Amino acid sequence: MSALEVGTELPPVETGPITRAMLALFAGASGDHNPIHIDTDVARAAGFDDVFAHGMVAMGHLGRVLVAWFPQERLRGLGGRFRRITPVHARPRCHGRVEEIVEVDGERRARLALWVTIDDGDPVITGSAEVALD
Amino acid sequence: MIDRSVIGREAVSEVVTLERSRLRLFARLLGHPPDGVHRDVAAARAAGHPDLVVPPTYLAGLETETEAIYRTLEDVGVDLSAVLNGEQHFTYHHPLHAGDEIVFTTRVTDVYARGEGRLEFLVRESAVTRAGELVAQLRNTIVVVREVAA
Repeated sequence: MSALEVGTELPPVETGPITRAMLALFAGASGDHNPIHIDTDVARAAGFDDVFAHGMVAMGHLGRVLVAWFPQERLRGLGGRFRRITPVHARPRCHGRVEEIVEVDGERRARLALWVTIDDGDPVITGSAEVALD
Repeated sequence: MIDRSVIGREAVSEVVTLERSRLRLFARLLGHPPDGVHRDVAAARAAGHPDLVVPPTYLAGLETETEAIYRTLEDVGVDLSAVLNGEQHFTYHHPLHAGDEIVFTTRVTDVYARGEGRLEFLVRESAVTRAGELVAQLRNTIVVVREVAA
């Protein structure tokens, strides 16, 4: 952890492909029951070709990768913007880089830039996190 | 345009219990390791936690499940199929574990438009409390996609 400095890139992590079964289970597990993610009829009626992942699937992967990089009790904040939808079969890849080291409330924290890409390399999420260092 | 009078609207949820089996499924779907603190009670206890650790993004879906957002959208006349998730942010104050009982107090904090009104944004902030103590804060932005007249 002490080896972290501004510009340090965290090792990217690729997740398995988004599947329809996973989205159906995620709706129930997460509490986001919006049918646009699980019912093709609803997705088509709303003008989409197919169902697509909840934004919180890709952000959830980012959260999981983040707490593999750092102990969760050091996590002070996490967030991001959803840039576009994550289609079925996409494989989200989570990336992070240390942007700055700051002192907040008497503790040293790393501010991280985070982003999730899918197969074409473009981000579906751009975000950030704040992690206590000591 | 969404009526800005919705700003300030507040909803307080029922008490929500963080359930082990649901946390396990959530953590499994997102690839948390099977023998880790998010899925294995023994591993969580060995690491000093009272029970399974709640994954960092879990609270967002639970807030959605309180249905405060659906009531708000209905009140402002927006169809659910016209909305997308725009942003989600978390601030963490205290760790949460399976078995904890929490309450969401969610307030609409902003409404604004972009792209000549084609996109509207509804911002909500939630305080998450456990026995009255603030444990986390959420900020969510919903994007409303309006039909463009031909």
